[in-house]
Amino acid sequence: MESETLHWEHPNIKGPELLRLLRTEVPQALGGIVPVTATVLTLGLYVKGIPETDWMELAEKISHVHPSRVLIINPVTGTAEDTTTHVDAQISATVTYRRRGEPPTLFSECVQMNLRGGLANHWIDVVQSLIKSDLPAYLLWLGAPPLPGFRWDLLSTGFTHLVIDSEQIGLGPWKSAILAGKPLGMAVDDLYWQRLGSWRAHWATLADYPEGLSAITNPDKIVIGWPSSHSSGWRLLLGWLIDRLKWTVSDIEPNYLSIINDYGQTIPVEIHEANDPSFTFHHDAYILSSQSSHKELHSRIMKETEELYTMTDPCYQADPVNDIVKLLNRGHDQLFDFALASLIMNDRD
Amino acid sequence: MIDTQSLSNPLREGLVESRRPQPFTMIIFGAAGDLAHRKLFPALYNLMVDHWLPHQINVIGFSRQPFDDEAFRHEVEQSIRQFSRQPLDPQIFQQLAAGMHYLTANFNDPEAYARLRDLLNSIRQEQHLPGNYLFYLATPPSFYPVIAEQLGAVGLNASPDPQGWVRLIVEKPFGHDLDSALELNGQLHQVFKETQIFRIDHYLGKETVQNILVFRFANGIFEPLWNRQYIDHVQITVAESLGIEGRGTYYDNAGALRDIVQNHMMQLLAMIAMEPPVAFEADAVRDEKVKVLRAIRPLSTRDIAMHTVRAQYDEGYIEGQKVPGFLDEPDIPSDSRTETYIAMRLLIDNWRWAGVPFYLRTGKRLAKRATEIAIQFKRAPHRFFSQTATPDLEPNLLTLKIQPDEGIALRFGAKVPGPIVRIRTVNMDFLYGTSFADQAPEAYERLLLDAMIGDSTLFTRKDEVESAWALVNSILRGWARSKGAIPSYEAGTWGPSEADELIARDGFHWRRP
Repeated sequence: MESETLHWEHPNIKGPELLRLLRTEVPQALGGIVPVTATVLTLGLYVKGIPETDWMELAEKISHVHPSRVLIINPVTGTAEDTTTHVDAQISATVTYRRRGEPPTLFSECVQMNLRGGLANHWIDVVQSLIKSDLPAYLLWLGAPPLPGFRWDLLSTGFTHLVIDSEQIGLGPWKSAILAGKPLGMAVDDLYWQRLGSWRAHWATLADYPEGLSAITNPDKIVIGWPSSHSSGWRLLLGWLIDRLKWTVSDIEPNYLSIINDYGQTIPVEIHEANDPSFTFHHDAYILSSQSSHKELHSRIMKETEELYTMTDPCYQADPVNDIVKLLNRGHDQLFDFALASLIMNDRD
Repeated sequence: MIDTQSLSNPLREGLVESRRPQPFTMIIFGAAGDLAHRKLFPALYNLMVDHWLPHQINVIGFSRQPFDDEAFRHEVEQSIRQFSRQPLDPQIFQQLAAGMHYLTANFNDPEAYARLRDLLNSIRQEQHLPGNYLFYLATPPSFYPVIAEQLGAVGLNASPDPQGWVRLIVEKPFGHDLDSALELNGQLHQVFKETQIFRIDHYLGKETVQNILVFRFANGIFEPLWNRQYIDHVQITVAESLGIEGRGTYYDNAGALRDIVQNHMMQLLAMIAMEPPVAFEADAVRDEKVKVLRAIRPLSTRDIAMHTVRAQYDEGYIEGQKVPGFLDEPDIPSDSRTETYIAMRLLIDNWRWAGVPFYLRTGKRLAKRATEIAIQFKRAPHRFFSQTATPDLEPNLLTLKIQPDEGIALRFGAKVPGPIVRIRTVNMDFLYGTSFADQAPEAYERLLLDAMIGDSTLFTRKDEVESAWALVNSILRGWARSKGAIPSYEAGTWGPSEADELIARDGFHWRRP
């Protein structure tokens, strides 16, 4: 299937003009032919304050996989609200040609919007009208989280999903967004949670073995080593275990947790600083230890000094394009909500 | 043997990350053959590129062709270069090649199986691997019972580890008729349990075939219409523009009925007509498919004469090239009565489908390559636009396109712009290629991975195979009694006129894909 990508630049235009251009420019470029639209979703990239990144290139890579309208939202503050309200826009559209005689297909559109003046603060108003109706709409928030009082109610009428990456700044700053978005029907997804899927799948496989199952689901003690800069990682994994295994948290300290299992027994959880993330489960004479280093997740099950089993899996690494492509493929993971509810939302962090 | 995956594992519940296989050794019988080169090695390589394989995987080629390990690795590399959907990355290939071994051996030599067992044991001990073995029979079917028996004789039908597994993948054809299918199943069951046997029908590994179940059961709007009240009839087409492509001896013994209808088309029919399973799990899905196959109304000798058409292609033109007739193809006897085309009308005697005809047709050297399922709905009960409507307004048609333009189309009537009411038939098209740009895995990749994991949902079960053969057998017997000339059709057309008459008797016509 042949395809071509068309590019336009429109400095200093008003919001409604941008919508008109999106409707008319591609048919004009195709000699008046209205293409079939293949878009299956809208993706917003909120990039305020992140310098020196070619967002259009990133957007085009994502939209190459998912036929989508990608909106790069870059509010530029520091200009007077009443005089310079406008958008500096770049548009690219990828058109594919199936067969001679058939109309072309508008596969994807990428729109970079540098929003100035009043639009820097009221960008939701412009973006709302650009979101494709009745299709999933994701907003990947790459900048600093919004301040209290942010209009989540307005945002949630357009975007169905808010996507964050808690590996960068933890989950704490996002708690208010998560709490506000849920009742409004906006799902929250976390790219770090998704990357930690390699741990969850790894442990699920280990739990296919009786020794692995006992060690993970019925431990006497858990020891966690994790870099403090990415502490939401162990919290998300422990939250997942607490939810899946129907445990409850009885005490939370900075370096210690106390968990009650479904038999009423207490499981102490020790947390210490480490360069390489690790979890160790102690159960009678068995020890199951999992450690991530050098892009691999390695586990071994020991009975006293005897090594019973080892397993190694690749560890997902952060990659902005792959992460978002994978998330758009999978959609919302309910286990993330459950993990949040069981540990994170009660945590003081 | 403990089936580790049957233990209750709360960490699996709700997990979106797919299951990865445990470390295992794959043994390919017929590793020097065409199937291994075209499909299996590229599939293994692509699974490795996409991170689906465990870190420790060994592959043992077992075949008569004299190779050593190094020559075998070279063969595999060449096949990946030629047939893989992803280009060969030398570093990734080295990971795969490091675990490759080869045994030059005759399939019925008992000593060779003892060598295989010793090799497996040494790999297991040296690499501290669990005793997980996946045997793949990529050989002529006549060797299936021999290989199974020999594996049993050296104890390779069970894992040496209490938590290990042993699985056997069997390629089609599963028998030549019902008797031989029963015999083959019996022979395999002498050595392996049904849960260990994975009968591969590569159609079930196709994304668009799997999408039939998603389309039907993940969408709320279609299933209420999916019955005799709203559906007029169903047409299933598997059309090929290719001829027999040098497989004359095989094809003359098989024919379209055995080669396509018994397996692929019966699977498509079952997936279209089945009731919703209670879960997307192997036995739940296959139970429902078997119910459909058993509900197909048996064909009497008269039914076979009335409701089946077989034919052979005559010479003609395909894409402007003159092609020979079937009887002039190499290795085809001039008096061959093997069919290259079949059309048939089936009825399914159950509550949902009573009275709805299912028309199946498949053939070689037809006008174009197309596999699709067309569901024609009944006309609107009251046509109050009749005074001004165009008379040729067609009933609604839902078409599930399996290949080559994978997608779904819905045909409906729309008003032609203008001051008076005129209605024209239009199509609403969904195309996989434009809505999902991700490269879909090959059918063999999906099926191999499922077998490695132990998920047999997309593999055919013993009773499925036997039910399909029971129907096909009745047709074969009916045809054997018929001594008349076999109709022919010109290559490059849509089949014989007798097939048009078959469907025209019910007031319908074949659609043109």
